[in-house]
Amino acid sequence: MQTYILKRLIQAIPVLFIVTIIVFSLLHFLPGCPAANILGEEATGEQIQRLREAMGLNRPIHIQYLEWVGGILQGDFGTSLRDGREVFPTLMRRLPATVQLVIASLFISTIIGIPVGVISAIRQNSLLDSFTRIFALLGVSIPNFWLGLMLILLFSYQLGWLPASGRGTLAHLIMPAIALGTASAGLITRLTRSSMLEIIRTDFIRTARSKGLMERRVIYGHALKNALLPVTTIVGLQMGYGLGGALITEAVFAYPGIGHFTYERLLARDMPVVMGNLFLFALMFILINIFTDIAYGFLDPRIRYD
Amino acid sequence: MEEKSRSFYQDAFSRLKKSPTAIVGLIIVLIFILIAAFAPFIAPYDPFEMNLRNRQQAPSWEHPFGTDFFGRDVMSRMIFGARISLIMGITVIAVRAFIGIVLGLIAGYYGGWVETIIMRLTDAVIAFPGIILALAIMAVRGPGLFNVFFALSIVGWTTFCRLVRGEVLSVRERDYVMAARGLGASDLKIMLAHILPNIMPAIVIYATLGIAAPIISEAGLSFLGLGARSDQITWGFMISMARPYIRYAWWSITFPGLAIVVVVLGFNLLGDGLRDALDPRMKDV
Repeated sequence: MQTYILKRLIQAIPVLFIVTIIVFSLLHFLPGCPAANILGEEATGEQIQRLREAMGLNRPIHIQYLEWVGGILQGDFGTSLRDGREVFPTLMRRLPATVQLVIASLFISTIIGIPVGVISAIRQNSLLDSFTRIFALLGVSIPNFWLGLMLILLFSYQLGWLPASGRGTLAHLIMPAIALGTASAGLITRLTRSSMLEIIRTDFIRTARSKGLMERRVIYGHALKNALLPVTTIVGLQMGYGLGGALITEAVFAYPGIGHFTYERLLARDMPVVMGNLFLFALMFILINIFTDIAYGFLDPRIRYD
Repeated sequence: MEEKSRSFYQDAFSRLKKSPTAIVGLIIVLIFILIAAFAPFIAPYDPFEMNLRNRQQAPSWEHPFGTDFFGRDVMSRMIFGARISLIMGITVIAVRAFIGIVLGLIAGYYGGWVETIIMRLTDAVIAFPGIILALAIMAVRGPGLFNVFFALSIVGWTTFCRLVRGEVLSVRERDYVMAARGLGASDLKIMLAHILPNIMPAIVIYATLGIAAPIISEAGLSFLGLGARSDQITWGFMISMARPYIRYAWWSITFPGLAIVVVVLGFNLLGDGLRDALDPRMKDV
């Protein structure tokens, strides 16, 4: 097991290397000079030149790349072009709010998606199953920002039950989490259903039935445990995608997370912050996936990590 | 070979006809394509004509979906908005499929270090949340619909690449591929004439189900104000413009959003139906 974890971590290194190249290339595609961008239109050529030197932009590109990567390895993501603060601590301060939102949305989508998917599968082709399939597909088809606006319209402006923006209490978290989690809920429902249907047809379920086990025991004891395996992978993936989706949701609800912050800095072309965020999210995605694969191994004794 | 492939598609078509979800999806998609194609003839009003005396009118017989902040007819604007949504969805998925197919074919067919590099690149691109990578590209290239198209096209091809590579690996050693190679067919010919047709059904399914994503992403980017200009109409942009008045004019936000939901649902229903019809392995799922 330890060798497997180590192997996965080593495999992640070339991927992370490509990630840094993609992120770094972005800054150097930027039309115009970042130094001129910061100083504004009135800056003289000499001022721009001095800032370029201070920022290290006049050095060869591979040196700049190596310095940036070297910094990241030491947890130094550079400093913001807008306020001169260090990028890493700034991002870390905003991250918990977003992680909280993503976890809340995944919580909602799993507690809806798994039971509904199971019920839909054991009553395959019933009216209930048809409804579930339509609603699951509808959930996948709704843009999260629009759903967010509709929730605000109903629960904040019409009924006055929930706050339309901000963060702090559980009430602030409910609507953004639903807006962000609905698509995942649809996806998890669909996957649980199809995975369950597949398992129900396998030999060992037939054996369990034929040896006279109660149907409930068969479904919840035998089938569900196995059907949930692929669902684990999707939940892991959804956590990664949720980080991205959170950006728009946070914009709708003025939720002070890392996505909203990055979006503001993106408009201001504060590239060190944007690059830091991109790298951080990619790193988190890769780590979450490794973690999911390892969890998979604990859940499925058939998988051996040799 | 010719005979067999025709019967496969005939078989698939007859299955497709029996699937109510696929038919509903197909009808929705066709209706939207017709609306987009004949927008100037269908729209009751000029989508750009402002009428300040007629601002923020609630839905009525005259304006079924109401009017917006400038007194423009929301329904007429939605009808024109179908154009950009559909074109964006279809062209982005076409470019994504093209990049993914080319890279996937190369990776799967040649294997070795070529495959390793392509697949690690795929892993790296997947690791970024698509919308944030697209936003970063937009920040570099500036706002505008073409840049939305560009940014969305180069982030989502990974699914196709993985799919195509997997399928190529599963057919690479089959007899008919070996036979073609034995007969001296070039690599390109083998990939295009013998491998690609076999993986086409899977690609069609993914492409149909995949159209939803760029349509929703374009709406999201336009909602953030990075897509359309004020002389262009997209559903996401309409929602973005109407957002400050959400308390007084719910219709200018609700109806364009519903249009997105319905067209995306249409493509997803069709994609589900296609999967059931074209991929017999997953017939009952």
